[in-house]
Amino acid sequence: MTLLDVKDLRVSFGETRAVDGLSFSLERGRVLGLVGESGCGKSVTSLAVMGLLNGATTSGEIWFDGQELLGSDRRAVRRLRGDRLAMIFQDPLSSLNPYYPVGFQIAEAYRAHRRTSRKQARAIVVRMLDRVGIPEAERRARDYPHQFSGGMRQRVMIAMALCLEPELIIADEPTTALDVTVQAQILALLDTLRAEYGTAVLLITHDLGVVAGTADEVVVMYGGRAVERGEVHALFEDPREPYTRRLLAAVPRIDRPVPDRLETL
Amino acid sequence: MIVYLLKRLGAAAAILLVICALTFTIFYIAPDDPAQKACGKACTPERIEQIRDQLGLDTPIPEQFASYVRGIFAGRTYGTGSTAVECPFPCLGFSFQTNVPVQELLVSRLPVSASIAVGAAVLWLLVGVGAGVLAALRKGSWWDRTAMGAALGGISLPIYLTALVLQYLLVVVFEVLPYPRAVGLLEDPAGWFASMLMPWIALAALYAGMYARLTRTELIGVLSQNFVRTARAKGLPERTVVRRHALRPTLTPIVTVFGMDLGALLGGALITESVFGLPGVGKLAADAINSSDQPVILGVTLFAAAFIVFANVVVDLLYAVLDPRIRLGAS
Amino acid sequence: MALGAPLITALTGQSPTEFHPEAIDPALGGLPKGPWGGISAEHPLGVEPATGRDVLARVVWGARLSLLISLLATLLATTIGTVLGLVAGFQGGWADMVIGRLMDLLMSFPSLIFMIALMSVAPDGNRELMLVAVLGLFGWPYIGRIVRGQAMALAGREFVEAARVLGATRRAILFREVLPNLTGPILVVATLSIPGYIATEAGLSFLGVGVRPPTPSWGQMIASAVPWYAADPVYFLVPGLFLLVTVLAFNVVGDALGDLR
Repeated sequence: MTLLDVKDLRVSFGETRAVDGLSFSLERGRVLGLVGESGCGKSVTSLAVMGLLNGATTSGEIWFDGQELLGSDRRAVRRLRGDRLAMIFQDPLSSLNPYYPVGFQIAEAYRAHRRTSRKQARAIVVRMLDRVGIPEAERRARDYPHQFSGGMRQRVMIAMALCLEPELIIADEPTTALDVTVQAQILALLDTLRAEYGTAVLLITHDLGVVAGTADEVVVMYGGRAVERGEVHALFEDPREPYTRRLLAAVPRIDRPVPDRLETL
Repeated sequence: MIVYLLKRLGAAAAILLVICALTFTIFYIAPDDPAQKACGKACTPERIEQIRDQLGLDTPIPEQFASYVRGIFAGRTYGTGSTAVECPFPCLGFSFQTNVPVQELLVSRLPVSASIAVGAAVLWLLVGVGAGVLAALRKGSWWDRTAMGAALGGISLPIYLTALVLQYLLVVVFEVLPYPRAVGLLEDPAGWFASMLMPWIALAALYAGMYARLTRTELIGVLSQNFVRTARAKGLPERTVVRRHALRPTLTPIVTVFGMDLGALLGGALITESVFGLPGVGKLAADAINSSDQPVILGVTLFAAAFIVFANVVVDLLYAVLDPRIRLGAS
Repeated sequence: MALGAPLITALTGQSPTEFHPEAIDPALGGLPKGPWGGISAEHPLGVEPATGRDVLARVVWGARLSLLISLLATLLATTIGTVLGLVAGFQGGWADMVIGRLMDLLMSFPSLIFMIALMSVAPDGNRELMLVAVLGLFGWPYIGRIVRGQAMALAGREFVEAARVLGATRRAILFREVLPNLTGPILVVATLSIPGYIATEAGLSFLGVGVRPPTPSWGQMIASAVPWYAADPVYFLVPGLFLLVTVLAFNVVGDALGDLR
């Protein structure tokens, strides 16, 4: 069953077109990788789905579980946001408010959509922090973002995104700001939780390695539109579009010698 | 934290000492003879000699300075024998003009200055921060442009100009307010308010402009932060996003600026008080300067500097309280 | 206008210090004859009460003085602030310690009171230069602090590092690599500090410790208008408006410069 269906999405900032007729769809419980070089319109797409674009002109349709989002009123989209579709951002330090304890920030997300007492929310927060692998969750919930390491902060963000058990998580470069070893842990965690909750994931990244390891399907974006799409292994094995081929060739591999010249994309 | 506080206080004391020393030296490059000043018009050479002796003017300057500082902490006795005058802690000397201890003068003048400073501060915070927040939230709108234009105008208004125009319009032409007088808040609340209103507006016009601009810049910066986007992504209502997530980081730097401004203002809203003839610390300074009443000038300068330095320490601590990154230290 | 002051006064044929007893009315305690502060073809902005001096002439000569003093003070404060700020930010160590403390100290001064005290004991010689010196002395830490911060940030940047690796001398790095990158902020801060100096100079003269009569200055004109303002508001409004417009103009320019960057 289709959960997210984006049809002919166009986003422009003034004269600049960021997304230019992009269409894709995502089934429940599946992982779709949206890949492309920086500036190809991936992040703008994710913000458009969340309804978080400011000062942009948008057209096209975004269907989420049978509801069209671009034409809906802001309140309706706001109610969905955080509850049924959640987002994980690239830089967990700047994405968390430095003035509030992390527990408060997660509880806030929960209480924005569920009527619960502070105490109940608190229990849920601790359970979530524990679930994403933060030791001593009870105590750490009272700590501030700057007291966590990069990987731990991203775990906090994941806990925040998952606390309402959304149907869709948009992860925008969730591991780019992290160390390589931590990247793998976070991806593994995301994958486990996704499977456990049956959440669909829209994974936005420039890192083809990340996509290859986690996504079911891939949409390759270039210049604001999709140039190629398909099942992840098939696409990586046999890319049809020259752009995809060059994108794949640009990935440095430790099992091959470094080419004399890098191909220009 | 305590070590830090002690360090800050030590630095503050050092700064005050240097300021004291500098101000003290100025008297000795001044052309006037303090003894002559203290003595007044009907003066005999013997009397001058006596005063010289009493004030210790014959001893070297560093020694005089040392006894001055000692006087602040422990009190001192001027002169010896039958002419000895006791000056208790915290001794800042006697006014040449009125022979009243300077510390008493300061204490008696402080309520007026405090009334002016605190009232004006409340006014400019409400108006300035309020206008700045609205302007930032409606960036580019008609309101934003009008408010920022007015803010620039307010910054450009010299206090005495605003003060005189206000007084001319409200007192002379329209006769809605009386000439300001020094009235105690407790004795006559209505009279106090009527007297303070013009000084408040005159001072607040300047500061409200500064605070409106500062608030707007800060809030616009904060609203573009990633954590505000996260707050929106959680599905929080926009009001909560602004109030809880954007305003607090905006107000933290403003609080610190405010602390320093208030500290500087408590030391004497000099021009405001002079224009309205209100007997505050600033008027005391102006009068003392006009009559070369050196102990009073020295006392007021020190007093005002103490407020500024103290406000700086308080602001540092406040910043630590308000910003968890500083309070708990970056890991 | 300030530069044209001699020209304007030549045109109107009025001197800023010349008394015009015929233009005032001794019967009214020296108020100017005629409405609106004695405005006439001869005296386009009226005359001073009690002396009958031409207000226009005094205002334009006052402008000359105010602008000269504030520009010189800005120049002085900017030069000291830039040099010391650069040294403190770039050198670090004890130089930073000393300069930093000095800035702290000067910024903790109740500067207005202190300036007044200093000016009140200052010798009567060249008060204009004294004003420039005092304004500059208390003004430079504000520019110095900004320059220091920026210089510190720049000192760690790659292109400075590169210059260092290439063997450039410290002075070459400071003036060829760091300073050009700071001209923008310095220019903005300097422009924005001009109106402050104009207002402070006027304030000091207003309080009677700045420029002494008969040399005209805006603050002093406003101060001398205070006893008359109820009877003769024009005399007080003219220098006031000139002051306001000038300060506002500098603020607007500084603001626009700041936005440009």
